[in-house]
Amino acid sequence: MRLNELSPGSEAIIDHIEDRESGDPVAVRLRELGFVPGEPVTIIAQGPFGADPLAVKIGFTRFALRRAEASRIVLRTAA
Amino acid sequence: MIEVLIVSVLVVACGFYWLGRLAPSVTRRMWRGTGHVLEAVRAPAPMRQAVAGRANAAPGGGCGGCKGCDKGSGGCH
Amino acid sequence: MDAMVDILPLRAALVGNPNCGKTALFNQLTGSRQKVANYAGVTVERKEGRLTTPGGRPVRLLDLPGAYSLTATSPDEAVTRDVCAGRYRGEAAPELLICVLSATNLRLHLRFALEVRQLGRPMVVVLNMVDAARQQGMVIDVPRLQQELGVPVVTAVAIRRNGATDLLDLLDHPPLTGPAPLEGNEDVHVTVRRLLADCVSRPSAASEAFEDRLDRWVLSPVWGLVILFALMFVMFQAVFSWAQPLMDAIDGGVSAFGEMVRHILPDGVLQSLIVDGVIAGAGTVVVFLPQILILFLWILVLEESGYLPRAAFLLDRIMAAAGLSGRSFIPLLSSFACAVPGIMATRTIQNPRDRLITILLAPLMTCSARLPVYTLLIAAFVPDRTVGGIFNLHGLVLFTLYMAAILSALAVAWVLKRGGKTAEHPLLLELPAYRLPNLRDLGLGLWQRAVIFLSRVGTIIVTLSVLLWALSSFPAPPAGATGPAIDYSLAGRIGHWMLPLFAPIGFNWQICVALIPGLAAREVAVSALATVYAVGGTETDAAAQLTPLLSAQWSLATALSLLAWYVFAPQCFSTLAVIRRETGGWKMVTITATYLFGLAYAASFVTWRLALAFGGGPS
Repeated sequence: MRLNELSPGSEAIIDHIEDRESGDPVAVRLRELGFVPGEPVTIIAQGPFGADPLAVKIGFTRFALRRAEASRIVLRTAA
Repeated sequence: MIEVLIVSVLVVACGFYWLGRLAPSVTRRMWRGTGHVLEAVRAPAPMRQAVAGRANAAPGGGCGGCKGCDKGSGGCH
Repeated sequence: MDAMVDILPLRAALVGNPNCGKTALFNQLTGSRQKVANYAGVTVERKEGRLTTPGGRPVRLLDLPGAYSLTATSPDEAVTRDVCAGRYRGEAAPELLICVLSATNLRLHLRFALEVRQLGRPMVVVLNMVDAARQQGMVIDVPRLQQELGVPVVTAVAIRRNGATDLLDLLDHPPLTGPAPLEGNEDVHVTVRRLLADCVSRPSAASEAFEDRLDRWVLSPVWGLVILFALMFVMFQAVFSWAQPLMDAIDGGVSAFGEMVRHILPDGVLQSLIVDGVIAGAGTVVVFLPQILILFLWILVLEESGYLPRAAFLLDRIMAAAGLSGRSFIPLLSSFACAVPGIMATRTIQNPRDRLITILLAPLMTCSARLPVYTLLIAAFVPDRTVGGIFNLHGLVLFTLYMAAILSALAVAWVLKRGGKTAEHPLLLELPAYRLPNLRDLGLGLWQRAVIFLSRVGTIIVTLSVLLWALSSFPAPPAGATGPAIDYSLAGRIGHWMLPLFAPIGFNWQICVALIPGLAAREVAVSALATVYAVGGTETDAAAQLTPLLSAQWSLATALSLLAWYVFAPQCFSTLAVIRRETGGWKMVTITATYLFGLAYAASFVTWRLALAFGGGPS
């Protein structure tokens, strides 16, 4: 499952960040913002139009991500 | 007559102010010229310093010399 | 006194993540008043200040733009990267890096601190906002953190007086060598997690729940939009209704002053200059001070509270549809205060093309200098009625003007984007914690605004009014001339000469004259109109009564056409100058000026024609 498929309010653990191309700048930035394997993430809100963008909580920080960015974040399937 | 004199001085001063804003290189040359004159007539030192300060003033900051944007306030208007 | 104190100042630089309070700390340490707000990317340039430590050591302190990482992705982050690495032009590498972390957001900020640590330069770590962290129930083991990081760690509360004394003491004896590289080849995120586990404990999460509850409303699809529109709406209503008593008071004061001067001075050129030139010109603009301050009070509160990035979140999809990146939101929003800082804030935008488009759009945002023009015309031509029980019609029209500007900006963005390739526009925007605006900061911010506004009135507007008075008074009409004297003056001639160009959009020659000094700053158009009408007027009644005069002399169609003109016209030299500086050339300046003049002319033409068709023409 990917972050953009996660339902609002539920928590999941990040498995890895997928690069769209080699050295994908968005993926690099996501890692720098703390989206790294093992971190728990929650979707706290969705935008009013087309449920885009997503407001994501990771640790104590909240980020707004567009769906295309969120789809790079692959989640661990609940074991 | 005195009224006309006062009015002319005010209008010229305002014109000079805008010349200094729009074309600082012109006014700087004029201040420098005034400095030389004052030097020649041995004007009092504070006066000479004031003129020298204006002649060597660095060009105004960033946006068209607009006040405020390079100062602490971080904005123009 | 310490005999070892060097004479040369210590060169130190503040680095850290965006919105961790570097600038607040900088202001606290150096006593300067740089702008602070609660969103990422307020500081886009390096700022320099000086301070002296308690031990007498001088320090040259640099405030750098916030960065998430030293692999920069935008121009503001590049400044930080280059200064840290000693590659910035004309700037030696700092002798000490002061890495500022927000204690409330350590997981993110420690990662950057570790990255800075890898540079191997002398550094100290400042845990800022420890008060907020304590409120959240967080306990940080500072000695342990210092030991683990291998660099000095101090705490600070940058927004409180004497909130940085530990750092000042530390600057007396700064570390001279950089930290040794960390042992092992541990991933930086693993290190962060280990540090957090070892040094930080947070028992309960009470205030977290508060933020979550608030965000559930503010970010909710329906209520979020309702709150956003309500905020905007009340803002415009407030600009009119709250300011009115104060404006009436100032207006009365200015008129009384004009009358007094008229009685003291004998009839003649000097009286005309003071009353028709200076008091009519500057007086009409000073009246707008309360409105400008109320507008800024709203902007400051929204900035400080952390709401702005959330508004960006709500509106992102609309921006995306127009092909803009979410990053454009905050620069465009700053442009509502003034386009100049707005254009400078585009440095946080990574994609160069997005940045250029945002720069092109910034002048379309309704800056505060347009407010006097709008409210003057609205007060003169729109009846003061209550609509739908609660809404003041004046506020409603003002809101419409702002919306017109926003919608046309979206349309322009959409058109511009069609030419380019559809690259991905990342958003990746941090939503900061909510913060109660600090009353002292608000007061200080408003005070600065008032000082800036009044000093502009005192310099630009007074001098231009004097010049315009001279232009509209001389040369005097020849003996035996019929018609108003002003028609023979230089200003009158210029106005009549420009008229053929502007008559098709309904302007009269007085407006044409006012447009020229209005280039220096938009609000000057108001003072210029006042001067032209005061000089040309026959009645002796006083200066600041422009409103009834305009409603008597202009048709509604002319007023609407001028409003439409001011929504678009690039009537501001400062904006064009900053575009030149930010883009490094005249090309963008030419493009901006041309397209805005074109839009303004077209909009005014359509407005004028429509208003004529609906019977708003001259009677």
